[in-house]
Amino acid sequence: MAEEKRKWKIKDLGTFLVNMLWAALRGELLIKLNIGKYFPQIIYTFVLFALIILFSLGVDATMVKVENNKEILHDLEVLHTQKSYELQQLNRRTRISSLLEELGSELAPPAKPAEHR
Amino acid sequence: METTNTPKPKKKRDRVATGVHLVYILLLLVTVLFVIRLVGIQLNYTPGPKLARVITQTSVEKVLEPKRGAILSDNGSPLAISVPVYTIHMDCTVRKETYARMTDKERGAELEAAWLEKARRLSEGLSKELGDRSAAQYYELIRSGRENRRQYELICKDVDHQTYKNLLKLPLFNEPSHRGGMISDSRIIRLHPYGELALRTLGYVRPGQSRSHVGLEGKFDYAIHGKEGSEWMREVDNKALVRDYTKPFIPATDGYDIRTTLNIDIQDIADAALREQILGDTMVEGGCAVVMDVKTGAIKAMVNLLRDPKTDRLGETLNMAIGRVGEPGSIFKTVTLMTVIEDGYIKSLDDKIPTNHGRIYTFEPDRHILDYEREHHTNQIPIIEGFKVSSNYMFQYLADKYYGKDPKRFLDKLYTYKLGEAFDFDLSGLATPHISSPNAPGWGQTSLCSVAFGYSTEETPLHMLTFYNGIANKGRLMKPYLVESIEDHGRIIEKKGPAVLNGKICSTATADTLVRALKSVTEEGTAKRLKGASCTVAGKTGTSRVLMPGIGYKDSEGRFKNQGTFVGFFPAEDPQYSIIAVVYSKPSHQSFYGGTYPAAAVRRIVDQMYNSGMIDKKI
Repeated sequence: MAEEKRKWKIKDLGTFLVNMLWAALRGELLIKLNIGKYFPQIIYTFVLFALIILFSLGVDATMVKVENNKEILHDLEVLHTQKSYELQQLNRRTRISSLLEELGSELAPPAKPAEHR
Repeated sequence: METTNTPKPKKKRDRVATGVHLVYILLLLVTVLFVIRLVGIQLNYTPGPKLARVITQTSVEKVLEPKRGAILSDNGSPLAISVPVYTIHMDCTVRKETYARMTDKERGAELEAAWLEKARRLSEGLSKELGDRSAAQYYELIRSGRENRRQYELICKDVDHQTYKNLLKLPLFNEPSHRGGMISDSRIIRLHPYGELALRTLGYVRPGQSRSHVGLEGKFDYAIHGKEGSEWMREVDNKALVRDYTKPFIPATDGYDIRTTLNIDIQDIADAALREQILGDTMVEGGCAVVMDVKTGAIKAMVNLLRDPKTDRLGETLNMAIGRVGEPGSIFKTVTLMTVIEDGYIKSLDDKIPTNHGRIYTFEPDRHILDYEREHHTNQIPIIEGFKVSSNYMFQYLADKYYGKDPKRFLDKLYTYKLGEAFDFDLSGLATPHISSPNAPGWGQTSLCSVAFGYSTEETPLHMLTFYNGIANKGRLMKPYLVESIEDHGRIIEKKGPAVLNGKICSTATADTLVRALKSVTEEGTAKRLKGASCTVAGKTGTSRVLMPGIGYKDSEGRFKNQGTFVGFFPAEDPQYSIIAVVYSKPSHQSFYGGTYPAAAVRRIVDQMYNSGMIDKKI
């Protein structure tokens, strides 16, 4: 004789909830739900959460390095500009003449153009 | 089988297990309360403003300033570059109230003493780094500022970036501003490595001033300025700020660089040559000199020196080369000569005109003609002789004879030479020349004669140079220009370059004739100073009285202002450069002529350029 399919009634839901509550109070809830077989997945999920947090912190730390490096690059750019300015100042023809004169050099602007051979 | 109801034996309760079970129950209750509270916060809680500020992660928008483009010389040397400078103030009162209000007075006094000790070490560092005051002076400044509650004490102004970085390492300045008191402001300034060379041509941008955009900086601000950007910054651990990628990021676009046609060596030579001539004579108001490449019209040097009335110092404060219109005087005679030759009225420079004792209309008799008559016992004078000595009579005669009945025909020619219009130029402020018109009130019988020898018309030095450059270029009138290209880190964005104003103002034969005439001026005429220069120069001198607005040519004391000019080109056989030098006098009783300071300055420029190998010798 085929078993009749059991019909769920609202009373069964109440019984279920009461059983869950007693299991929770007794500390047997997870055992009742047979969570044990999903233990690796649960651990894996927590590992993922930890990794996301670690990566996020790592990204922030790298971004801070990026901003610090930008600051360093800016400093170097400004230094380069200032040094270029100082170098160009020395490139002025009349300044070179006056520097040579101060140093007592006999070198003077050319008296005639260079010979081309 | 019989079943008996035997009661189950009672389990002996394990005490440890009971204890653990109780802890478990407690934690379960806490968890349930926790979950209820979480749900309550999500659904029903609004934090207060202070807490909201603390827990909300805010992003701050930061404006990204673009880097202003540089202005470069023809070979890429920077003529104007931007750098940041910093002004540092100090709030001398930081933490003073906090220490004073501490309940532990002794501790407060200790902290105050420690702060002052740091200030002492700061003062030593400031003195060493800045060098303008002693350590004791800096300490007294800070200490008295603290005592007198000064919150914005100036420490230093406009220090460079390197100095600023060094100051940030000093005690107090290496702490946050609410502890150390440092307040810094930065601004970007323009530096000119070559000092005052071409400073007025380079110009500046000063928003808020009446003439805020001057020179190349002003005219090309649209390209040099660049475009601001913006980024959002969020706070992370240790209060560091990083870019917030969830918000829009617009990068700043740096400004483009302007490559000019200026040759810094030629500029230096021209500046030194003009300065040498006019520095010592305090009756000289100022002068200008322009050197141009004949074939292209590229301006290789533009010097403008104006004497400061208070200090007598010559400085680049006004662009007279393009902005000052004046009656050009005798250099305009070449215009008349070109016109009569080109129209076929004169076949050769050896053609003669009657001397008529140098008289025409009501003009004063020309003493050059009287001298010539006396020396040569003749009443005829060749054109070339009159040109050499810059005879006013000759050109009055030529203009009146050939154009007297129809002066408009002559005047129209001036417009074809572009002497009547302000063409589009790479600097703002090119003044519009003025040419008298027969329709204008005041035009009379002698007006055309006045125009013919360089009066009753107003031209800028640049216009006259452009005309002479056209002669040197065999009749091809090139537009003067200063900007070769607009570049982005060496990559050309926009090429400017040469342009033609008029393809043919005269025939090659006319141009050659004029070169011969101009050579005679420098070899035997009014510009003899240029004879014997390192290479042959062809050109014309001019001396004119300057009309003083509201006064006339002479003031009530009989003083007058002169304008002396030399304009020409070199080497005369195969012109590579054209040049103009103009010197302006203050009102005085003295005269000076185009054959003096201007010609002497040009001689120096030509010699130095030639000796430095800047002129191609293959002639």
